[in-house]
Amino acid sequence: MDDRLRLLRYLYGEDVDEASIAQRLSEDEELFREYQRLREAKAQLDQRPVQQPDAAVVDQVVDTARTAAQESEAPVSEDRPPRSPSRTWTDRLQTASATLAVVLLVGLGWWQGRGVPEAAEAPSASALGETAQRAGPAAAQNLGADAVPAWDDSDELVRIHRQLERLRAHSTPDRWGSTLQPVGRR
Amino acid sequence: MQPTDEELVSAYLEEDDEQAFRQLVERHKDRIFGYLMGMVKDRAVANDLFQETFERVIKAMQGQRGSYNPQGQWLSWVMSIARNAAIDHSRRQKKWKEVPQREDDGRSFWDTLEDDSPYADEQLHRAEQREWLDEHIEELAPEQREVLLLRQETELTFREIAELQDVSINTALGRMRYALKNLRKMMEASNETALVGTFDA
Repeated sequence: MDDRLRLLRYLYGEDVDEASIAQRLSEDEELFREYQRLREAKAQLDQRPVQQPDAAVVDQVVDTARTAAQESEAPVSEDRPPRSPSRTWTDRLQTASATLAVVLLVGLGWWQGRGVPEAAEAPSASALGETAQRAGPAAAQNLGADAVPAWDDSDELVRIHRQLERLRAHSTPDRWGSTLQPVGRR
Repeated sequence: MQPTDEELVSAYLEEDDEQAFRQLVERHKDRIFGYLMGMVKDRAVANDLFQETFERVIKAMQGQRGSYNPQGQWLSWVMSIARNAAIDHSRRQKKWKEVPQREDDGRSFWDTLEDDSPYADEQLHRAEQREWLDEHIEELAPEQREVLLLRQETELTFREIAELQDVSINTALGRMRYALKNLRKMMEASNETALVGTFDA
């Protein structure tokens, strides 16, 4: 650092090697004169009377500090009022709920008005078998393919059902008065 | 033994010790106010800026706003806030530059009354001396005047001043050197030889 700048730090009592500065001042006359000039100016400044702020201003500052400290330490209430949901979200939830309710009602109506009666009216395969057995082979034959449940219209099932009915008709034991007896030629 | 600034800051923040804060303000009020007075040359404005500075300081210390760092030097930090307040005021003043201002020496009606106390002459002399010096300081270049006020009034070190002004320490020292040299020249030129002649040779 320049000696002239070091002089300033020395003048204001900052951390400077005093022995080194003193030696430089004794060696360099121009540097010594500069030191004298700077010292004179500083001495003038040092004699300026101290200026103080108004006491009321200081009191006001301290009041502000006290208020700020009190505000910062005020406990946060744990019973905070419930936050009302966002208006947008409320609207969205209401719309979605209404839509869901309508869809459920329509679905329930469709299921009761169409699906359930058909299922109730359609006889099961075992029920058909029992009916045919009670009515006898002729009745069973009459049932035929038309007796196949409407809900069971697969070709394979129809074929199996018909075969089952035929076999059942052939295997029924002959009884007097029930069916015609085949007459062989003599 | 006097508590350090940092201890007083801790007492205020952790124990809400209002007296600790008052002690801090009382300890540094002359430095801060002296700097502000040197910058604005108006007692009422300096009082306002002093209060504004501490409002910012309190908010920052309470964590509401600003950049308070408990590890740093408290006075340096407060001076940076005071400096910003003075700069803000200067900018506001520039906007109103063309509005004619009434001459005001900052004295109230009561200050203008004659004082017959034995210290009146001495006080008057000191006031005149201060006024005379302040006029010269005001004539300095702004960057020189600020370094001079910061070093002379607030007693910040040249290194702290350099950090505050965001310049190298050599720049801060150079500004101070020119400030003192120019001030001395002005003193000599203003024929106040009686005052200058009383100093050590």
